[in-house]
Amino acid sequence: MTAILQMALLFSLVARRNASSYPAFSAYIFMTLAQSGLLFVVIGGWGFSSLASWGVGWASQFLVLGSRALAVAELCRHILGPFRGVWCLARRIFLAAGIIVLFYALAAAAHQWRLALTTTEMGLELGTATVIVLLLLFARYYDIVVAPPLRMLALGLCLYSCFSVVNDTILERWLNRYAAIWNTCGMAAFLGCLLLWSRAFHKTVPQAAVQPVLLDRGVYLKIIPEVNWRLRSLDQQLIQFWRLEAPRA
Amino acid sequence: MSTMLILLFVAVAALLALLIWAFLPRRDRGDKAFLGPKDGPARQHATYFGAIRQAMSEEDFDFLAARAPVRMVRRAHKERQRIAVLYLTELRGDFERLLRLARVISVLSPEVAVSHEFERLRLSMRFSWRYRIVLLGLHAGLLFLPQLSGLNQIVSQLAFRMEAAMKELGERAAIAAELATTLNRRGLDVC
Repeated sequence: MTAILQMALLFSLVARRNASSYPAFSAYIFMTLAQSGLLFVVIGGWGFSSLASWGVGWASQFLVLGSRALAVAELCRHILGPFRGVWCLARRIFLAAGIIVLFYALAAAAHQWRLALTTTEMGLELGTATVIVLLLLFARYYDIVVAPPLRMLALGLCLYSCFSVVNDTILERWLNRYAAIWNTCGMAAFLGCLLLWSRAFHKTVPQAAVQPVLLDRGVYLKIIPEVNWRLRSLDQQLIQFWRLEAPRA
Repeated sequence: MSTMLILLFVAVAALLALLIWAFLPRRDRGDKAFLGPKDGPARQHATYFGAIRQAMSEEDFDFLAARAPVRMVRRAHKERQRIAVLYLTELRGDFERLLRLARVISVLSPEVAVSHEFERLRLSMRFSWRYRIVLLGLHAGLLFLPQLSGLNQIVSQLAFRMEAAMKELGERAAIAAELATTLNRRGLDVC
């Protein structure tokens, strides 16, 4: 079922010319499809519990996670990219937040080395979800309008990452009892996201019509030291403002 | 279940809550005319603080309580409360409009100062928190004039900052225009 939807989505992305605007997301969908096919062949040939299946499974999983990270980066660029100043600020914050959350997740669950790969995957998923939430908060804070297809894309990516974290955490704790349900739950969640993305890309997504006109970079670089000085002096005045005592009633 | 795993679940729950909040429409987005005349002198409501403070003075209230009947005193108290809430609402409107103007400037700038952006974020969070506390105090029948004064200072401070920012932007635009003119002139000279 998921394979059919993946193929349909990929076909839709190419047919509606969305693949050229969203190459990383298209590559991610292609990677998930390729992973399904590869695992089908490997598990069919060597069995589910073989070392080859385990190795191919995890290697392909990290490739898929990498392609999803690129899809998230592409999403961020589509939403904030036209606004250069905010985009520069956001990139640094997103990167820092993603790395911090990844290490937090690794520290939170690094109690069993046999589950190191699952833990790393969980950390990457949590980092992805954090970056998407921060992206949407940034857009909200700066009043940047996010087009409905991009909202659906972000929602799908974030929900899937959040679900994966919960799913992996439960799997780590109750491995034997949960293993059978874990796979089914993961597939169901991915199916839901595929439906959401199919809805988002059911027609050609229009590109940003107008690029905002910004001030010239050279002018900015020439004036910025003076502006910084003024900002610092304003900041000093602000501190004095804060130190004022409120008048008594 | 270990504490760290609980923390992971809490992190996911917090992310989902923030995701929902990020998708909610902004309350102040409906006010399309934020760059209109209302944005002129941003401290327009803040300047009435003196009159408001006079109207809310404890001495006046004590004077009224000593001479007027209880019914009238209650009515006066309610009116004072109503005026304070109205003033506070307008003050918040001024603050929101200024913040939106600041956001527009940030979005259209090719580079933004991280410290400046974080400072504005901190300021808006602090204002929002104070606003709620004061509003709660007013609705509970308490008048917190020192807090009102604090809010007034924040608005005045932000208005001052915005004036400086607008002046800087104007200067930059003027220099850009001057540079463009110089370049054009040189081009003409070469030809």
